Amino acid sequence: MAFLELKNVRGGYGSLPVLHDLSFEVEEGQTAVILGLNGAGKTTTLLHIAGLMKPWSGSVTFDGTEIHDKDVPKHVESGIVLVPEGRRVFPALTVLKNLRMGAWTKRRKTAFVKERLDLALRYFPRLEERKDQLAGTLSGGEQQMLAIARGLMTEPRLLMIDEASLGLSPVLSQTVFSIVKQINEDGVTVILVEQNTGAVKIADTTLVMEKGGIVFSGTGQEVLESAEMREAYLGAPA
Amino acid sequence: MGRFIVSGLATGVIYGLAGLGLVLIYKGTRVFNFAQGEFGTVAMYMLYYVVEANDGPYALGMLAGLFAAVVLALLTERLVARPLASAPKVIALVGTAGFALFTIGIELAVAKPEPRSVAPAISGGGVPLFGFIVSGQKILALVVLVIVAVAAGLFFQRTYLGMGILANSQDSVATRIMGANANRISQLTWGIAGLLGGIAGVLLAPESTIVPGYMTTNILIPAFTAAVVGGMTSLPGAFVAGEIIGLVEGLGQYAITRFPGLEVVPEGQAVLLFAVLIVTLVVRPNGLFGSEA
Repeated sequence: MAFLELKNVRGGYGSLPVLHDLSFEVEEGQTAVILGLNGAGKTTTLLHIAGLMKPWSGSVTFDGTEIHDKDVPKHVESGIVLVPEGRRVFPALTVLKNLRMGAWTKRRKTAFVKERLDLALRYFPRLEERKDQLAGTLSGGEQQMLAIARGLMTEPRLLMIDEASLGLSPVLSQTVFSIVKQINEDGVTVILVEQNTGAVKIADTTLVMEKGGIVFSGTGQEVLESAEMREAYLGAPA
Repeated sequence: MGRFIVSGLATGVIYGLAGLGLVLIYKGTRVFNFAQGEFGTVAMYMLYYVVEANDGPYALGMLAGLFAAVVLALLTERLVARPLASAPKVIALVGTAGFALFTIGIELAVAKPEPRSVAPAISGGGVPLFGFIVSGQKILALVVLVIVAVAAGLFFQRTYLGMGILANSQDSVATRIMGANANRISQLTWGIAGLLGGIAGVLLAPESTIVPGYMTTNILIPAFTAAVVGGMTSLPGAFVAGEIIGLVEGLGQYAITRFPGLEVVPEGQAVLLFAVLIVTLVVRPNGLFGSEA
């Protein structure tokens, strides 16, 4: 059985359906990239995996256990962590306090929190320099780094990052992607949601979404070489 | 003049305590809590019923008062704040005002509009200052305010729960994503505000004529002024501004006795209060200690 498996998931907002019989799998240790245009259902997919939205039907299975009926704290405790779209750092808390908030479900384990804090700052040395600064005063790139570092605080097994490169320069995007690659090589399964094909280079699997379903799945190379995919879903000429 | 200063500072303690409760709810939920005053009034009534009506021990009366205030605050959270959490903040504000009126109605029905009084927690123990005896009760109030202000500051600066409340006030969705239980954080915030309101109530009760809605009509407006002048998000700000408001009122009373013509100004103290508020907002729109609007 796959590490993460979505099977015929239907879901949406109010009575508005967004996901239509969505099914896909991600293997442990992989980096998967979900590509698609605005409104394809990428963020909604992540919200369903993170437990912030419940599917109307279908199932979400993580490491052999069905999780779609469980609450968010249970998801976080089992190792599923979402780095949300728009970063959502706590602007009036310091960088250090933002990081500590990331370990909320393990807040009573003082030694664990300290260890994770050290690790998060090793991945993002820039944050070490800014640790006493309020998060709201950081640049967009630094806030993205903080959001990812905060996601590492609970020792995630599956780290999902929604639009990591949004609003970042191409150079900074590549820096963020290379750190994400490093996190993956250290044993964390990663799902990236992107509109930017730059992420495909670090992906083991690339999924392309349209209208709430997967329309293509393969390696990054296959997506980039598919004229149809390039034109239809990535907005690039064939 | 000295006695008016001391008396004003002592009154300021109560404004500071009630203001701390308001700031806490505002920091935690971004809602102005009009029910804050009644957390204090129910505490006063409980103290009265235990100590005066049933000759119970004073400490038990105080504990019962604090308990009642916390229960009322948790009811406000459950019946008003939580259902209106995603509504516009002004709706929640009106909801808390409605809940305060509802509570006053219950007080009227149960306690009747008869004035009641309670003996002080400390009889005697006064200290002479500027030729004026500062009562033991006033000294107790000041000591309690300092302890509460320090404890609240440490709670927000040093503890995970305090940090969780602050984080939740800044981005409740992100707090949920971290795995925090938003309802628990909300209950905790309101419970602490209820406790602060209750402390203000039991400390003020011996110096008041207790009637339904007492704290809302007498303390809420100066406490709001203290919270706003202090910066609305600053706990030390509410503490210091409470004292400033108390001091201004004390000096206002002095002016009225000194310059007899002034007594013709109706509600002269309230005018002074709003003057302080307006001047602060014009000179420092974020209040004395506020870092954000």
